[in-house]
Amino acid sequence: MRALRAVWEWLDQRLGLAPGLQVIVNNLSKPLPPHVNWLFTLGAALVFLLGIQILTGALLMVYYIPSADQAHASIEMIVSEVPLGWLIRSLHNWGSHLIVIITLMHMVRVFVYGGYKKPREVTWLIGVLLLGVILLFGFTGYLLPWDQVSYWGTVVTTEAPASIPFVGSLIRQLLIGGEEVGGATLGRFFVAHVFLLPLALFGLMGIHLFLIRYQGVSSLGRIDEPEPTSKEMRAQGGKSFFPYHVLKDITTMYVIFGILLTLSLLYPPFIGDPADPLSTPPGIKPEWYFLPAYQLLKYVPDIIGVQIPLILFLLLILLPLVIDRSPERRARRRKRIVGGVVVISVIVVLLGILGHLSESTQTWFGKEYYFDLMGMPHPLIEIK
Amino acid sequence: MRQCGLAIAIAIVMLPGSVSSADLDDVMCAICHFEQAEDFAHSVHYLDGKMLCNDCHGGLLFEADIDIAKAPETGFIGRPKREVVASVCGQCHRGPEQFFSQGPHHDHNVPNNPTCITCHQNHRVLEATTALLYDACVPCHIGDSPAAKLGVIVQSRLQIENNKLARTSDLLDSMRIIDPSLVRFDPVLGEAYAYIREADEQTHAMDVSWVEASVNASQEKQAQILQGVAESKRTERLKKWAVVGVWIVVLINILLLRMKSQQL
Repeated sequence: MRALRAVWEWLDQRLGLAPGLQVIVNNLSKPLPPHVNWLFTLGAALVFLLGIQILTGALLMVYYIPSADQAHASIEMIVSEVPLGWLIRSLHNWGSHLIVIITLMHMVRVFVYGGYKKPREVTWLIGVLLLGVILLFGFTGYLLPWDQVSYWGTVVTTEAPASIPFVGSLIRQLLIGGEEVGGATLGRFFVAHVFLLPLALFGLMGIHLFLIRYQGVSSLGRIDEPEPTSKEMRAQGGKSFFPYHVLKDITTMYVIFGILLTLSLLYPPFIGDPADPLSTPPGIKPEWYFLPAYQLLKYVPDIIGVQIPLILFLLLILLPLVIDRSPERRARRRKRIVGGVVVISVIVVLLGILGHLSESTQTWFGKEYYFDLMGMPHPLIEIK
Repeated sequence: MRQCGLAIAIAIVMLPGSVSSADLDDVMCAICHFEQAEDFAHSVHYLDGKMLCNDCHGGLLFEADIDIAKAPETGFIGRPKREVVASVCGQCHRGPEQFFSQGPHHDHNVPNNPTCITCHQNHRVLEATTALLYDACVPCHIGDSPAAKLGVIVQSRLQIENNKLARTSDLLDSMRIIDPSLVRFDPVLGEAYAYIREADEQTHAMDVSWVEASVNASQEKQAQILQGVAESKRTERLKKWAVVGVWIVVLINILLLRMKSQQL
């Protein structure tokens, strides 16, 4: 402890760090509004999971070879020969799923508590961009094992942009690096996954976290009322971020870590056959979080289907700026907008479920059903 | 001269423009040789979509003028002579031809010695399965003759090993879902299959010791796989205990954090 203090003093004398540290300490000691509960620990859980993704991703990158000829073999080598390689890959895989789930939960929490309203619109906008970056991480990472499922899943997903009028085919070519998904696509996706997207993530996350600390957690009052001061918050029972909320954050991290390890140990991701551009396996689907968009394309013409997810994304961006300008933060006083979001969410979830069921056979109540391309069930009759 | 004709026939077959997997209905040979064409239409060679008349007989398939179709420069050899049957089949089936040439049946000067088509038929070519082994022996080696017994032994040995290998393959597939690291046994499974394929080919040499050696080698590979699967099952149990351990550690830490929070 004494040695640590000596190092600090040495640095402080030379760099004058004490005032900066005081600002940080003061900021961390600021009280949080009394309504802050366990749901407010999801953001910290995301930072924790992103840390795990960076660590496991770096370890995977030591052995992974991003070439069409060797990618699949290198993944096989990682899981079969590298000590604990299977666990590192499994953690990375399950971590990516948990990040998407917790990001969506975090956004729902912010929406319900009206945390995106003035003056925190920029924090929300950056958050929406972070959601986009996280989905792109999933999209680019999905191809990297270069097995049949990942290859054809990417073929299916990258066909959608081609239906955008005029520039569609150009966008697709830029995205996949040619006419067909191949080695060039793998190279592009790898660079995006390990370099471009992490750069965007660090930048956006840095601004997002800074804004959260700078502006503090929003109260539940109307936006035209002044936000309670630290003194008022303390009087209402609000406790400081450090150490009270940090202890909650760490508890949530432990639970998330437990869930992540359980899933990774018991359900490691499967490695399919190597990608074969000449043989299309049946029932190919993208990752679960792209299933609603994938299913939508089956019901409406591609030219419309491609634009609806983009419009939804735009609506998320416009939410605090144009769509919800009421001064109320409490969800029960914003019934119209909450109702609208619930309806859209139910449709998205339904599309996802239909996408999951489509082109599969399921047994329900002892009867077998085949779900066709549109997700409609057809009872299978046993031919005697 | 005959070899030269065969070489031309092979050369024609190998030409980039060589006709294969075409429809038998379009082939001119079938107009006169309709019985053979009918048999060939049911053969594994045709149903696999790989071969037509010229692959064994040479000549031009779609030439209506017989003289041109059967001209020597087209590689036409007509019905392959007894002594070249093995080499005609061996164009594709190199392994069986190689082992056949080392076996007791290969000497075409011995009257009644079989050729490939004696067991596999010529036009209605049968799929080469182990079931064919005994059926092919008994027409010549009747009853309790050592040769017939040999056929039975080799047949049952290969059938048992094929079934075992299929079960091992299924087991590996089902376990790979739980333990992806078992992918390391895929090449071993490939080797086990290669040994069995070799044993199949060695049946053409009629030497049971060769077949035995290959089957044993395949069994060794299978044993490696089964040992790996058993280890994987033990690891799966360990993983479940590891999960219990993880949650104990998580809960202890949560309790400690809770205590710390209450102390504040």
